[in-house]
Amino acid sequence: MLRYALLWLFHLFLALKRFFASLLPRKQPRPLRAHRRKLPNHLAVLLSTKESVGNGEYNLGEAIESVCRLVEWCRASGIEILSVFDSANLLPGAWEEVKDALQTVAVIESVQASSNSDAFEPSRKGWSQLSSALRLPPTPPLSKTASWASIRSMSPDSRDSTRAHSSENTTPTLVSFKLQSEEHSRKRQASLISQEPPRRPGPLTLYIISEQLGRPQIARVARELAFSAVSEPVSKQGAWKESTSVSGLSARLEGKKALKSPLEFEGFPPWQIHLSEVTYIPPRRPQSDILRQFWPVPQEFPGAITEAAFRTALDEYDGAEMRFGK
Amino acid sequence: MDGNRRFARNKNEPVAKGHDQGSQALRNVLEICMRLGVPCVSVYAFSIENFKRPKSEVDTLMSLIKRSLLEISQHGDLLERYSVRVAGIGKTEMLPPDVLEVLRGVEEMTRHHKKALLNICMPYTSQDEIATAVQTTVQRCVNRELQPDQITQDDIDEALLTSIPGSPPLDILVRTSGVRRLSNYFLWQTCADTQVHFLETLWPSFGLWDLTPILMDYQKKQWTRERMSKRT
Repeated sequence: MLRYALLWLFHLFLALKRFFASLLPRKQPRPLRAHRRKLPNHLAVLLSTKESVGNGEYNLGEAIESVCRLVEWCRASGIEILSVFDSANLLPGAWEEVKDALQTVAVIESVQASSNSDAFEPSRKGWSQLSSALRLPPTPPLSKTASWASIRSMSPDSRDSTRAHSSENTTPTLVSFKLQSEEHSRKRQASLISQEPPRRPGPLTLYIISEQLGRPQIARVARELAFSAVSEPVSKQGAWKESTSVSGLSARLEGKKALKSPLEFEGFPPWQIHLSEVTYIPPRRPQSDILRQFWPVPQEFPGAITEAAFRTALDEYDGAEMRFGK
Repeated sequence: MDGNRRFARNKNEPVAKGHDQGSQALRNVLEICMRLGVPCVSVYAFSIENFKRPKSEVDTLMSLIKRSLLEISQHGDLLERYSVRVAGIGKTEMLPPDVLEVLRGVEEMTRHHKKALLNICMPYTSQDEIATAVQTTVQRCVNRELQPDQITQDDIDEALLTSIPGSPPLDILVRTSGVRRLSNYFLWQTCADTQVHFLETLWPSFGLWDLTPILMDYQKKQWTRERMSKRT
């Protein structure tokens, strides 16, 4: 009993230490449009729904609000590709609501939604005919030079929970929005970007990615390659091995141009982040149940990502050393 | 285990000294983990990308790896005391013959150890591991051991190099020296249910003081999970 009491005290001490450390004044992140030596070509954001921390629940409205904010900040800062992944997998199934919300902040040039049904599973009967026709849904674009940065935002404070349970075949695995650059800032932008000189929002490609593009995608690629391999003519046996090399898999998984207290990746596609710079945005409330009772909760979209967090991520990326094994 | 070179430079010492101190830090951390009963520890000793470093440094690292393996496998040392089995994970055919011989010797010597597993990833990249797992799975289909339409994530998972010696799912990943990238380490294993810690501490300085809050975070996660499952 004494041991458990001591352990509990250690945990409380750690929570208090982290809580007070978070209250210390921090260096303010540079403005959104400040010059940075390095800017990611492709920013990926993981919106966390981690319930294991014992926090509140996550809702779709908050996720969509985060997407809209991220779109505006990326366009203002010059980032041209944004991928958003939410670990509750609500966004892919609600892509039309995302589209409606985006129309208040941007002109949408085109929208494309791809689902697993695009990568059909052939029956055994027609392997040799179908293997060459197999295709996969497009995947998040490649970033070989580690020009990604990932922000993970905890969403601990919302009260409502909406979980969409869609079948694998009807929910898109990847939804892409092409947004045009604009002559004038939209009215909403002025309220979200603080004390910044107005500038023309740039073009942006937004990908909403599903957990199906993670490990399940690698399993699907393996199935496709296996179908091809077993239907190879005897004279070409072994030709499939090149397709299972790192470069072969990269070509299939990354497309042509183409994605809590402690950080967890919660099913985020693993292949594409091998060299990505990671920024973790901790929750804005204490992690201890006891301390959380005394912490005020923001009224609107309490768990949505903040501009300060976004700017911090850009500053961290700008200052990162990139040796890549050397 | 990042930060050996920076540690040495900060002290105006040669890089080789930094790697030596990093090796000592590894022994200390392994001892702590074994005493705590951690059943599996994996270390990223050498990346396939590290061959891009100057030859002199690569040779130094290989000598160090060989020496460290020989030391910990000696009678009465770490591996024997805690009954730790060693598995070399990666494209081991790329290792110099003398290092490979020592690795295989240590693997053979510890083959019957049952209490814990030490994965030494060298030379390794996660994308290479995943590609090898996909290749192995497809080969099973070519050999008619498995039907292509039956391939699942579990088949890929079982074919990973870390799964072959029996590694459990990855609970915690730690990267030292302030670098916030996975750098092609355990991508598949990390993307699901792993707590990831990026620490400013340089590897030669890493010890119990750094490890304790990490283990406490893991403990908290398990307690919370148990509490949530009791509610439902």
